[in-house]
Amino acid sequence: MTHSRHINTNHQGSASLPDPVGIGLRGPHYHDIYDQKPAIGWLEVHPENYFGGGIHRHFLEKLRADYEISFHAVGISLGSAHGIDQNHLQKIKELIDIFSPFQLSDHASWSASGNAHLNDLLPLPYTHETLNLLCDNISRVQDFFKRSILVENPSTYMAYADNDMEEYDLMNALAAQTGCGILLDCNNIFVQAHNHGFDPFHYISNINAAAVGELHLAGHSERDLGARTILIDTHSKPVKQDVWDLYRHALEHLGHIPTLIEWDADIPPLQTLLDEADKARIIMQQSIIKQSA
Amino acid sequence: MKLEDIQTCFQDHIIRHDHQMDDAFKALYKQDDITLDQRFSIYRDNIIGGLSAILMEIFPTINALTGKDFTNTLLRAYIRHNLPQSGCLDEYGGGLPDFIDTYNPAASVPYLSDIARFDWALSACEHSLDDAPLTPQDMATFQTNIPEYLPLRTSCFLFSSPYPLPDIKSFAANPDDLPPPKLDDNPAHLLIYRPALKAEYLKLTDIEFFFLTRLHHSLPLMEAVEDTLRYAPSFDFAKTLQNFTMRGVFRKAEI
Repeated sequence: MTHSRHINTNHQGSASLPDPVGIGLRGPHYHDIYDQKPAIGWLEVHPENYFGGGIHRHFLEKLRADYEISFHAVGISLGSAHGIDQNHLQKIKELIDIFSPFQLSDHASWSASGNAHLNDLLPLPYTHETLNLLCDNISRVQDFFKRSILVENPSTYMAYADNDMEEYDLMNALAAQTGCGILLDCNNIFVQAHNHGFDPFHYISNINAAAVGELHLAGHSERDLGARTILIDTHSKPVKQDVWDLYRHALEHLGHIPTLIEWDADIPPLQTLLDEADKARIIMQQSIIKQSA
Repeated sequence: MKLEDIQTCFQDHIIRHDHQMDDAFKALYKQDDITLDQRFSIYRDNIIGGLSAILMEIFPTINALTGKDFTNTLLRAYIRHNLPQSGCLDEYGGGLPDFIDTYNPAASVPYLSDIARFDWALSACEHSLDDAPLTPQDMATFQTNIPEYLPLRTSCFLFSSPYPLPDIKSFAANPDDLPPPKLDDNPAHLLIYRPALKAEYLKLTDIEFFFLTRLHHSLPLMEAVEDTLRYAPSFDFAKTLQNFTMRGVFRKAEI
């Protein structure tokens, strides 16, 4: 594996990465990644997929020897008003102790209500009540893990009428009040901008650059609803050109942040992800050259 | 509305067919030319569709036997009454076989719940925690030091059915190449285990099943042997021990 340079993440607690671009590690690619050892800076996993043993744990242990790993949780439910599942945190903690991920993240959304886990990233109103709840839950998680986490901006398909603040204000406030970092998903911003009618470039320009520890890129799908089209964050397609343009803007505004290519459904051959990663790497190199000129 | 109430109403509206949004809940959301119901339908599709896809992967034989439409209807009915209780979805779906027993449209397929138990055991076996197997070298020490207990590995599952489940599963996967299995008087005693990374199954004799079930229920080893000898005087303990040790069925930890 060859790596051209080291780029530091700019959020506290982050490690030095050999390459700024990573890809999501998913089951269909286990053998290919293990056999080919592609030149990728890091691999992202959902820790929930590794709570058990067998083939998933086997390959994660093998690949950890060659790659830095990030944990991107999808089940903590930071925005749940019913509290955080301590057992879930304990299982993630056990994996952290084994795999030492350089980054740990989840979403500014909720999934669990009462005894039910809805297995989706559901929207929150952007109110002071929500801010306080998220801060409490994030602090509790960080205290439990004894490390800071990153919190990702979600994709949403409905908006609350009486928000007290914009989403970027909420994200900045979470970082300021809890010490967490921001995981900024460019595709989610684009999807929401389309669905709710705002300027995605304005959103990024209002994010506190010092708090951002990771960027995400993914593909989305379109769903026709009468005369309108809603964008759905499916992670099932290549990154759209509009999102690449937004990524370029994010790099210029935020700096050269470690970037992940996500692909979770209709998973293509590994080479397709590597090609997307190359594209992100080229855009980042162009941005570095432009800023140093 | 408080956030806790918003989340409860949101969940009810996603899951319950008959849930009517009250005006206070409706007023929380921006309204435009896309109706609130249309927007909720996106989340409903994501949640129900996503969970259905997970269950479809765990229970492939239900789909192969009954078809996609029946399976989808069954899974959606199950999901609406049995949401996951944690963010660890490896644990989700274990209640489906019992649900099938109460699901009237499946009554004409009497072996469907046992097939579901078989599929579930294979999936659970594959995701079970790793533990160390008892090796033939460990077994050699038994001549001087017989262990009080001989536990099965965490990944082992045992069950029996009045139906020939492996034959039904094979037929469902290859209906054009295999004859329909004989359903009457053709029971199956099964061990599902994970010798390496993939789950496998083994058809057991009724004597093997009797013995392993006792070990699985945490009976002391000698008590399990004596029970089995009473059940079947021809039981060959040494041969059975060797056979299942070679397959990596016993756990080393508590020896």
